Amino acid sequence: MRRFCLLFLAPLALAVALYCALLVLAFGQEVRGNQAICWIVGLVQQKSRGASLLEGRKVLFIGGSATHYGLRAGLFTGRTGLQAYNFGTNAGLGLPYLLEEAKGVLKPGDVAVLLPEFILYHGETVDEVFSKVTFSRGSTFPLSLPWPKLVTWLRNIGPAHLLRGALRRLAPRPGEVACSDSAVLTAQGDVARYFTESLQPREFQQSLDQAQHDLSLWIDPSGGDPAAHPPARALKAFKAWCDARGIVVLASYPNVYFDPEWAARPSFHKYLEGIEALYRADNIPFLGDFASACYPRELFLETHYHLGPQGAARRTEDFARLFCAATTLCR
Amino acid sequence: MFHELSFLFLFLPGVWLAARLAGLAHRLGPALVLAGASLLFCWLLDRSTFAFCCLYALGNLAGARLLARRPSSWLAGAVVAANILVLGFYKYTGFLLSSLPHPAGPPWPHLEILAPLGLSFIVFRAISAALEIKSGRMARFGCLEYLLYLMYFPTFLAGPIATFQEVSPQLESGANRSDWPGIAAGLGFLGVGLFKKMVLAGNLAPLSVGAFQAASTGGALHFVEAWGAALAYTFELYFDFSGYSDMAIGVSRLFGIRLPANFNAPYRAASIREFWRRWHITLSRFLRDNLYIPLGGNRKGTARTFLNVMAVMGLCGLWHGAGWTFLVWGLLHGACLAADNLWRLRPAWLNPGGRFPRTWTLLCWTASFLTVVLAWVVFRAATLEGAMAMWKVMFTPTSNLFLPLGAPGTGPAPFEYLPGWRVFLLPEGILPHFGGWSQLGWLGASFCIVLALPTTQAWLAALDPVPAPGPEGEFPLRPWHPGPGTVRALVSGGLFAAGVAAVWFATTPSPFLYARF
Repeated sequence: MRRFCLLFLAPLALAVALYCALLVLAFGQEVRGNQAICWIVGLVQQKSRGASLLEGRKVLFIGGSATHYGLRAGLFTGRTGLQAYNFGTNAGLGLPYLLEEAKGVLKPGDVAVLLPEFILYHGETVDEVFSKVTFSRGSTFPLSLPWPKLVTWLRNIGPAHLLRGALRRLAPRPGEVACSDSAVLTAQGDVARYFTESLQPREFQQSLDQAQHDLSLWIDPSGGDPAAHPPARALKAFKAWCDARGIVVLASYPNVYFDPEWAARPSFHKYLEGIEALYRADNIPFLGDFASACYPRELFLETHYHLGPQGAARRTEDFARLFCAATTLCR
Repeated sequence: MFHELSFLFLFLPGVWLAARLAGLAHRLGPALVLAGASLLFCWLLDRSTFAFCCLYALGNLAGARLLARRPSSWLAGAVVAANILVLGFYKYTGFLLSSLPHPAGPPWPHLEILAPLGLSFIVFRAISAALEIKSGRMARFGCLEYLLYLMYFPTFLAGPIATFQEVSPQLESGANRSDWPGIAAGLGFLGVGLFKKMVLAGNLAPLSVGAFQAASTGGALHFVEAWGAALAYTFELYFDFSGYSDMAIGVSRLFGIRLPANFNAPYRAASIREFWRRWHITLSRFLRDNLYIPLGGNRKGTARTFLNVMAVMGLCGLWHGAGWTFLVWGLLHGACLAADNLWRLRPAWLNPGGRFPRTWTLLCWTASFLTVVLAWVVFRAATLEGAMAMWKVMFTPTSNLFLPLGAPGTGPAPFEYLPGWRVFLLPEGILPHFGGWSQLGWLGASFCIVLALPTTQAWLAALDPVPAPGPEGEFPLRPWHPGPGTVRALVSGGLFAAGVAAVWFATTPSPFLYARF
């Protein structure tokens, strides 16, 4: 019977060994089964590569998709004479990870401009997007997570992903289209082609209608003071890291369509004060106010934070003015 | 829940180790550890109703002690009535209010009372104990034994509904007897149960959702989709609940406590009567001993037997859930059981199985299985209208059978197998509520498993026999015989590993279906 018990556990031990082997083999291999995740992986890869190629001082815009769609680094360079790079990717990755990616491309003398979406001030979400993107990128950042979150991270990498990744490592197929080919960007990380080109204007409208009143999508009303959440610690550590390397850190609000209904909420203004106080506490200059990041509805694409081409141009012009007024860096 | 990693790799090993160590210190040590673990389990399961469960158990203990001192019928009746009132309040108040006709004016308020998890089962255990104490079968018992019987964590959520007499003698000393055969059998049951729940039921579950939803919302449904969904639910429910029961038996066996078997290959039954001897055996036994027999059973004539069967099965249906669909499901089974009783009264010369017994058994099996599948439709449906819509599609005769099993780009090329009957292979995805080859594969595998493989207790009988629930039945196909011990251990362990992998990679929680009854 002891033999039965030992033999009973043998397949589990074998499965664990096989799982570990698959993890090692698949780690750092792109997921190509999921188009949306592949697009984000490609975006992060391209932007990391693009930003690290720039020589000399640069202004790096850090944020999620609101930054990706909301700013034009090329136009910013034209207005300010400063080399800039749009490092906006996806808010689903969480602020600590976005800052970790930024550390990989920042050099002494650079300027880091933080434009996090409001949702990034709350918690560390270890969801499917975060897990698959970090796994595909071969990032060791998740190893710094508390162990229950590390377990969640591992569990989010499905068996199909592991098998495909391991096979790709063992038998690479040279002709295969890589994730990095899915996002079309300029040399400064700006959007070169909009994914919404294939959508009908009516679909935009419906999507925007659904999203515009949903404050919870954008700001967590139950979130309370942003300083009380883990990203505040990541922000403090990032500032210390930048200070040690002579990197200037600035911050501002992300671009958003402002629904007047939000202003009626008593917690709303207190919440904004909390964000500004968070940066003040870390000695990070904060550019502009909430109103300076708000734009009319017709300038947005399919959500209330993705600006269209005209909106992005206007936002960049406004932001360049704010930037030059607050710093002595512009020519 | 048994199929969570925290239960399998933290709670269970921790409690097991604590019980072993406590056994070395004191005779009652394991029972005390099990009692503590049961309270912790109850608290982790549903913190909001933990206090209620404790008070409820203490209230029943007081009633049981009184009953043990003065075993009178009225006191036993009072304990039973109090338990039924509690169950009725939590489960049926909302249903009764919504079903009662209200006079002109404002309708009755909509009430949704959240019943504590496992209430239906704990109530039955309390009633069973009260009746056993009253009858004198359990005249002497300890408080710890009684409380542990009610709250025992392997059976807390969804049974098996063991009797007090069955479990009580083991509870105080059982964990001391936990030995290698018991541990081996426990692990085996746990492995098979986890596989049934996570791999089989987990993959069958999504296959029935779309069709049942379409039926309840008046959406379009095809013959193939309706049958596909009905069969998927039939197997899902069996694998889910028998998987749970196997795990409960296995977990309990690890502590040296034997629980009665709850399933014995129910889909091999060749009659509805036999089905109920094989499906949720401990519930059938509870209803037979505590309701059917006290009502007179079959001793008071044919008409009264018919009424008794209908009453018991109607209540059995309502016990599963407060809704018309459950009542109709119970009554359907009641009618079938009554018809079975009538058939057994036939004259001796009417014996269709006499000359071709195997063919007759196969016919009986087919009829019984289809009846069970059709009854599960009403059990699963959200409303009676939804069930009717499913039945209507399932009974709509068609000579053109469209099977969504062709490769993409396949045209409607008919294959004639029988004159006038044509089978079209369409591209997968044409029928949105049928999963194509994948669904066909899961249904085929399920058929093979329920018909050709041994039951869990037969599979593990050589290790540590569980009280046999009866023969495996008259079904013509003889189940595959388990191989030698090494194969059995490796296969059980492989099933456990597959179950753990399914839990590890599960993207959504999958609660046990019977936990909500």
